[in-house]
Amino acid sequence: MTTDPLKAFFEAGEAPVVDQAFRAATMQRIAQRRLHLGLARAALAGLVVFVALLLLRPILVILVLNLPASFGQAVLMLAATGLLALAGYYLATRTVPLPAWVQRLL
Amino acid sequence: MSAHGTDAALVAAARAGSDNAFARLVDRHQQAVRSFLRRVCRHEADADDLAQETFLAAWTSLRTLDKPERVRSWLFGIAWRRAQGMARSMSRSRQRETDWQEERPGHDQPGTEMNIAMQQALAQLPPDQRAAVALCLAGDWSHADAAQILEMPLGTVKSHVSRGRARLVEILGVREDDH
Repeated sequence: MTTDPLKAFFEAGEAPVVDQAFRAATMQRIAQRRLHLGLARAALAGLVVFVALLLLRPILVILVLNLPASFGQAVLMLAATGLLALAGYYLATRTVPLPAWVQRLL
Repeated sequence: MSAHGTDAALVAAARAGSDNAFARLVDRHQQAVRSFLRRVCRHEADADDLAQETFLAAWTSLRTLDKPERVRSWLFGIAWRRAQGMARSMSRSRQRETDWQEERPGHDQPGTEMNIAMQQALAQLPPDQRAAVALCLAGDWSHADAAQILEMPLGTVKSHVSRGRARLVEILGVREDDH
């Protein structure tokens, strides 16, 4: 078997087999990318909802004005419950740790 | 290697959202990718930064990978394309992106004499030749695989390897019968 004389030179420049710091830094950048993508998607979804509400505004105004007062209260309660559920979902499925002061509150 | 530990299984798990699976892919391929980039780039810190970008790009486009069992050559292809574009942005991002290295033990240790000599010799080769040499001589890739990774004709890769090798032997002053 012949040995390439260059092999020893190449082996001297090999990266380490195990490098926890590199792994951690890479996974941190991935977490940041995921957060940015999530924020971009949420912003886009918010924009779509906003535009849709703007377009439907004439119809919604007529509907709200014709609603009985008791029905309006029910709609408000449903909307508040929905918002709470949405916030709870994002809290439970978050991939980025909350700030320390928020964690203390929870 | 168990079925759960194959590249294909890890890619499938990572596609399903497993960070742990992707971290294992990073562990498995980081040495090869970083070693390749260290030979292609002139600065170790830039090479490691580029390696991180390679894995980040791989995570972003994991769903486009056709053959999960060939994830390593796919990673090398990404790494090479990133390395080609590095010259434009490397200088301005160097300090910002390498802060993490300052926390590593021994990050400022000087390289060995052989490593320094090899880096200086590689720096004298044209980039394409350097990449072909890094893959086929240092990384044990076949000429055909290297041609696929570098997106070059097979004959060009063979020529790069042959000429690059002769040039390295000349610069480093090693004898062909050295062991």
